[in-house]
Amino acid sequence: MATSETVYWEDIETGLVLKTGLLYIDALSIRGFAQKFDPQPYHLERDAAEASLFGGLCASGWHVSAMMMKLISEELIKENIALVGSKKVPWLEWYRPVFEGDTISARATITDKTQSEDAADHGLIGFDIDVHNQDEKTVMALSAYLMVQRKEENDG
Amino acid sequence: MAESFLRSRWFEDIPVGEFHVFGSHTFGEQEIVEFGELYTPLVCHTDPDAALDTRYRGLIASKWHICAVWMRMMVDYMERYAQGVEDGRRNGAGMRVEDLEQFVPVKSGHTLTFSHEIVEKPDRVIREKWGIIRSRNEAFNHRGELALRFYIDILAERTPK
Repeated sequence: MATSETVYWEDIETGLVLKTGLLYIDALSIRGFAQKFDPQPYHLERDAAEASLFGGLCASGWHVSAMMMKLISEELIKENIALVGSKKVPWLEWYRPVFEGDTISARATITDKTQSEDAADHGLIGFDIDVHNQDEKTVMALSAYLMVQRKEENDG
Repeated sequence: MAESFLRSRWFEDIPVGEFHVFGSHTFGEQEIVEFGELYTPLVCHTDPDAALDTRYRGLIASKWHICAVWMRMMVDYMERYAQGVEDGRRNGAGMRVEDLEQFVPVKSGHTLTFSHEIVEKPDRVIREKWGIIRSRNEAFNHRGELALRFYIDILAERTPK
């Protein structure tokens, strides 16, 4: 879908697979998020993390979720898809820790297109999203419905 | 009373129906923009002026930001009631989220109050020592409207045999 024109809800076909860029995770970003939002020892201190069930300094699950959104948003923007925001997440599962030194990336498959119940200016696009590390191991997966602008609204 | 009640509990000790209010948080413009610039690069989350031209008519917090704040509220709340617990392994990791949905926008200056209710203890044993606590988590705004809701499965350590 290499195009410079805006891609609206109507233009998107189910089955399309998007691959995002890469994101390298260092201890600074793990601790930075944890200090603000999830100050638990396994996200802050190496020693405590090694003794925990995770076995090493690892990112908060909500940090991984936020980084997933960054990767997906940047990819959709790069593809000129008129992203409005995300609507709902039917399910999300964290499978493996993301450790310092890992590089994550996401793959999003478009599974579903539905009209929005609350507004005519956008439609919903259903995605199955897989977030994996440098060893191709899935660290997190989710189903998400994102809001994408509709063409009609822009005619006038 | 509440303090000793919540202290150092095993999976078996946590009752379905237990209800907590973690507290409230007011979302400021600067923190919304900071989170937006790091993770959610849409103008409704990053640019107070450009956000006026979006369907939200102003800057709004992303749902991932709201969830991150929920996490902080929960950690702080549980910390207050679990002072003296040395075995950090009993603070379980999150496994799965279901039906995460936002119902009304959260603009800068809005205050959310976070509630947490244990709704189920699925009959599963994870890695021989963990049980699952499923909770319904809701955030209500200053007008009393439900702004966001999700269910989350969190591990809790079972009583050692």
